[in-house]
Amino acid sequence: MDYNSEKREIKLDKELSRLDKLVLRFLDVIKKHVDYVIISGYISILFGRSRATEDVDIFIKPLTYDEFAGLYKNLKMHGFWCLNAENPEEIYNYLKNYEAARFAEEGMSIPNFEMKFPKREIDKETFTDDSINVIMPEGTIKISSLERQVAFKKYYLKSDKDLEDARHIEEVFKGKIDYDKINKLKVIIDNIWP
Amino acid sequence: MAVIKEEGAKEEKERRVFMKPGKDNREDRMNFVKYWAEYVRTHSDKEWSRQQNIVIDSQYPKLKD
Repeated sequence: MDYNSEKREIKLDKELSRLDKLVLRFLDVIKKHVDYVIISGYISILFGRSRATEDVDIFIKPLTYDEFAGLYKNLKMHGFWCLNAENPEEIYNYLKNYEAARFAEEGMSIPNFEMKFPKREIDKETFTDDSINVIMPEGTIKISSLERQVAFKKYYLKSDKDLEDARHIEEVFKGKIDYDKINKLKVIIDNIWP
Repeated sequence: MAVIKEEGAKEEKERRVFMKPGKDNREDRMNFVKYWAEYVRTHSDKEWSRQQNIVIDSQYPKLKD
């Protein structure tokens, strides 16, 4: 893979897993309606971590109800369902209250997409300051920055699995990670969740 | 064992890299994470992803290929 930090681009030529293909199918619908960023564990998996996951976390920019209803209708048309509710108003209310709405392919519950509106400033910055486009022949996936991944996993989530995910990213992108940025994020994380 | 391809050689040489066992399960897992990440970093995307997909695809037998 080839990471160009100035362009905020990673070129990736992997053989797609079934999970990668599902993510691309889901994002094909999402992209038509709203800006999004993939966060958390799937990013490590996208870059080679040897584990599966039950969910793929995604932030979407806040939408009006009508916009969300259009997105929901399109997701259903493309074979996805919501694990939390069927009524779009109910699902939208979860999102508005900064709760997650989970979507999966019809007939399945895992893997699913855990969709949320960004709540805190540190979450909103995921969109504004540093997202990266991962460009593959089959499609592009927008992810939050590598530094943000490492910082959240090492200093907020902290489970063995998360520490392993962080280490995987640090090793794969050795020499290309901005540790000043990670340390600044650590300070913010420590202030929010002391 | 990881096999690292050395660039610049007339014929492509491969160097095996061995993983250090951990003192306990946690350390051993982390050592493997580092070892595998090194493999990912030093091999083509197609090569590591073929191996990764054996693990991932087995977890999602019902997803479309």
